[in-house]
Amino acid sequence: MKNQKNINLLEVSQLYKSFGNKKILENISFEMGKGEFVLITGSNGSGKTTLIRIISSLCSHDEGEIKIFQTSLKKEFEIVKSKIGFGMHNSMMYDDFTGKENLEYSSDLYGITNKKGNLKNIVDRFELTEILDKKIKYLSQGQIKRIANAKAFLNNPKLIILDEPDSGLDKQSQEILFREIIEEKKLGTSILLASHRLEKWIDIADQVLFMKNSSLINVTKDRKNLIF
Amino acid sequence: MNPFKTIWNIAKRDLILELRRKEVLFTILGFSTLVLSIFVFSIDVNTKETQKIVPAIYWSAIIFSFTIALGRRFSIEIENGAFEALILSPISKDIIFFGKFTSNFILVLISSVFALPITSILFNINILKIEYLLLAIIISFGLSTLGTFFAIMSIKVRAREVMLSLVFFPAVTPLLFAGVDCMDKIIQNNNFSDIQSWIFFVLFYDAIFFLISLLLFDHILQE
Repeated sequence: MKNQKNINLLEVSQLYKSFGNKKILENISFEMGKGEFVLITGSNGSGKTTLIRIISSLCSHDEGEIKIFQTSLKKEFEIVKSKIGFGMHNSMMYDDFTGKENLEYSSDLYGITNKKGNLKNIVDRFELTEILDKKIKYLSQGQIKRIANAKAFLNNPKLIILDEPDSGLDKQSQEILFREIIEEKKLGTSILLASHRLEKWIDIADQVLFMKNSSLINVTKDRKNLIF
Repeated sequence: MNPFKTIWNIAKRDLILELRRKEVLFTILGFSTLVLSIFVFSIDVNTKETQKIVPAIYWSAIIFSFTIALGRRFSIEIENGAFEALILSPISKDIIFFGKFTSNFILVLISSVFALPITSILFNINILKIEYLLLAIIISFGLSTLGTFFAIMSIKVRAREVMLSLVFFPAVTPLLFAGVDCMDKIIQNNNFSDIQSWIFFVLFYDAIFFLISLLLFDHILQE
């Protein structure tokens, strides 16, 4: 029997993506096990966000295959979406709703049964009480990012996909995010996170994917083996 | 998850958002009132010939104002990627379509009905009849179906408002013809049987495009 940890939650094989003549991703392959924290890093424009958007089905790919929860992304992604929490580069929230209203809307879309209790839990974990009742348009970028990050954890996901969750966050908010990711990891949640801040995340990462010029130039679990 | 509850959740949020922003409803109501008022000042409203062009003025005002409002409405959806949150949530694409369609339908119906008494007062004709309400409902249904479909289709296009007008106007032209002719016949106090064929045509057109939109909606959400 396969060890639970060895079950591949996410498999990306020979992924290619171009916009016109410009190659964005070239032959990207990696695997992610249950409960693993995988960090995608690299400089701006290296293809991190495109890779995250393709894995989240927000963007199509030209070649290659992606399997999430051992089901094909192209065929059965609808089925597994409820197990995934998404935090993209933009907030994915309505400006004229408060943080609370945005989180409640998300809870409704995910069909969360204990909406109030679940919301309170998330608000407490991410320390959002003070900003929760303010409309998004009156919050700073950092405060918006805090709520957007919390939204990714709202549906108690088995896999959390985050794109630059630490951008615009102050030190305290970064610590909260860091703490919650470690907590989720302990609970067996898998986390796929794209960030150019390698130093921040490398110590808790099980796997680091280093991207440069549209390709994965390094896949390692050891800081010493990182090639820049 | 109860699909009807989810559809209502999407539509309800859209309507709450609209009540707060007051952009779409004000655009439709304001623009249609303006168009109707301009015509009143430029033509003699008491001649029979003028009364014949009232339906064309009314429906043109509704369709033009709805197009402007649609562009604005879906700009809000893409501003912070809020529409992406819908796509990423574990609900089927059909439910997203139904939800967006419902809110658009309510907005365009409110505007169409609101413009009726204004038209009636400005042009001095009695169009406050049940037949008009029926006509407004079935044509609003078609406008909302095509509007929702094309607005979402043009979401990723750079010149989205131009693109929306280019595809939306030709598609709603048959509805416009039906609306104008039916309204003209109702003004002339014709029987329901005189407009029956148009009513069936609009119902058929609504049903066909609703099904096509539903079938293609998943496809247009793919890049």
